[in-house]
Amino acid sequence: MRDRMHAARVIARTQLVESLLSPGLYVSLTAGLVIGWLLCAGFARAVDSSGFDPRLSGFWSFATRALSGGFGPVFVERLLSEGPFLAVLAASFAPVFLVLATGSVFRFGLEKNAGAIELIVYGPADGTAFFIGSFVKDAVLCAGALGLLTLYFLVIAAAQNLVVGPMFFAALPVVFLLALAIFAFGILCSVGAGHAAAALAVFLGIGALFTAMLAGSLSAAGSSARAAAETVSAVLQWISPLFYASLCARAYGGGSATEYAAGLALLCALTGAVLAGCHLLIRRTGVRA
Amino acid sequence: MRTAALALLLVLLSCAHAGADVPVRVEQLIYSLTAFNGSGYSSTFALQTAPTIYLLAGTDNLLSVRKTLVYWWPTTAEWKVDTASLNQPFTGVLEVQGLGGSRRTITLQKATYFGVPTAGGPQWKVLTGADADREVAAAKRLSDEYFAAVTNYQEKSRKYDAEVESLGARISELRNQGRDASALAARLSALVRPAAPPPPDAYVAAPDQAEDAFVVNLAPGEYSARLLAPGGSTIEGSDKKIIAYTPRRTGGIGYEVIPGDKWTRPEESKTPAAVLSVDGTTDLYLRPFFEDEVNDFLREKTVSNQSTGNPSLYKWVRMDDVPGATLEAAGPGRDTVTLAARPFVVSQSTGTGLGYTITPYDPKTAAPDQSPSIVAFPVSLEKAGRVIRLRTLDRGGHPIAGSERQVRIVQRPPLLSPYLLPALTPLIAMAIVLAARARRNRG
Repeated sequence: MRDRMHAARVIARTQLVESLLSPGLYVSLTAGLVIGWLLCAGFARAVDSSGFDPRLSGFWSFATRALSGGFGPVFVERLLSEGPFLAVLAASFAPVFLVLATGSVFRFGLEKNAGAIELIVYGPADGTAFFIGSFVKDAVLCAGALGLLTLYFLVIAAAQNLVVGPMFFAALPVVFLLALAIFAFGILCSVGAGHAAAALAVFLGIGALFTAMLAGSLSAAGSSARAAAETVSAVLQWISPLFYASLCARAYGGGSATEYAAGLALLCALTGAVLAGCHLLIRRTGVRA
Repeated sequence: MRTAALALLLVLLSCAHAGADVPVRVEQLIYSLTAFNGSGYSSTFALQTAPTIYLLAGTDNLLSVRKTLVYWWPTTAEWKVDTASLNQPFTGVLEVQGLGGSRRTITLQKATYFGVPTAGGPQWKVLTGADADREVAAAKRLSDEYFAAVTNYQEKSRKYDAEVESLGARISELRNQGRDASALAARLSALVRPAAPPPPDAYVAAPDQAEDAFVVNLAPGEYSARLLAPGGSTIEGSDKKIIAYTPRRTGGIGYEVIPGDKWTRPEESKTPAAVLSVDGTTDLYLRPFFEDEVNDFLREKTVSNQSTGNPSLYKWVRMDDVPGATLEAAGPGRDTVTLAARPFVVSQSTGTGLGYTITPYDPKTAAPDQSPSIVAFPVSLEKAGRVIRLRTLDRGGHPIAGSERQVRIVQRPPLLSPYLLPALTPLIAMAIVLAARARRNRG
């Protein structure tokens, strides 16, 4: 176990250096930060004497109408009650998250196909050490990206006299643990699928399914989306990280710190369970493509 | 022949659209609901096809069952009732059974509801039987007395106006003739304009004529309900599920925010710890109120059984005003100021410029019939800094939990400002890393 952890640490460090040497992370981070600036500037321009009026900004008008239509005006009111940063976090983190998640899934498949993992396994490492290393790399980069986004949001807040409020800071650990859980699902897809493209397709499919389930469960009562989501969710919600993230959001909204912490713990537990599943699967299927 | 037939067909086809689109009325057994929503009573109805009735637990709600005509009204996209054509109330008893099996029957009785003002906000009551009749009679007496006083006032006003006009004319006439009019002028100035009678303030909402209804007051939970005919048989179509719910949180503080230049478009800040971002071009007038947090779906269904809401979300709902409140405002580096609610008069701007002017109400200088347009806490943004922290103090001067808010005057840097540069830091870092790597590879 100790050797495996050591190997995972070495692999994580190597992959981290490789990620920092490739442009994908930098470009996606820049995209996220620029999106953040533009959306916050749009928010500030849509503020008049009575407060935030989304009709004064093209993007915010479209976004709030779309969200109100799907989830109701209460959802939008809560989302923007402290200012734009909670909504902007989702938009800014998306490029980095997608690059990290899809990059890892694709790379795992490619290296499996090329026999690189098999080669490593002949040495002191095993398949589990490899995916744990990959997971740790993603976790470190994800934390760094979230930290950088938060820092930049603080700069924007100071410039525009907005607030990065407690709801935003409460959302940060949820977003981080949610990302980790999805990275774990990415590893599961990589381990389970035969090819890189197949792994990526399955991963994106699972992500789309979880997102659709969450969107459906948040939509207004009586809508067909909600009815369908409720049917599917009855079975699948327990393995959806987005479900546990929504539990955290609901608990925070209700002022229950215990339930919020329980939601975070469940997200960790889900990640652990998926990684354990990966371990069992890779032991069974091996690291050959 | 064929042409004639074609022409006839065209005429007939055009006639098909000539009639008015009359909604189809369908006979249904409906539940008429006068449901307490936390801050008053909402009148709605549950269609025969609606499976569930939603009520606030621990409050009196008035239900009645009737056969009437319902029709779909596409203009407002909702079902409406045509009680003018058919309105046949059912008698019997309402049987309500909890999921645990406890069963109770509720008898039909004459009932009415009304609201009375108290120091802690309006208090709503439901009275039944003789008590209801007495209250309705008392309210009618008050109303009759008020209208009699108004009639008397109008008569006195008419006489006063006529006398002022007559005296004015005679004074002008005497002055034109160069004669002394001081006696008439003294008489004119001694005339006292009659005062309008104050409207009755015994009720926030006066009781309507008592009607037969089932007064339903349930503990939180799910129930099944059905109407039993006097013979004991179940009336077909009367089976319903009742969900009685409670707010998730109560006693929160929200604010009605009235900008000085848009007093017809007030905003509400309901979420605790919410931030009110404004551009600082006008002063704000705030009014704190108590609010409860309830499930969006249940609340919407209580107010109108046809509405839909989001069962996953909770929303804060405005309840009563905060009696005797004061507002505490503080800014960074500034002393804390305690604000008191003051009356204001809103007047429409004259001339071509649209808008409103809000000025303090002074009873000494105000017109006799003029009353304050709003009573609110004025928050001047001109003298304040970029941030104002607000909280509401209760009658005893203690801060009310959850009343904290921030008002922030938002700055608008241009899109291409120096603040955009940090966003490009990763690209700069990438350039440095790639250059260093290339250099090392060359080495």
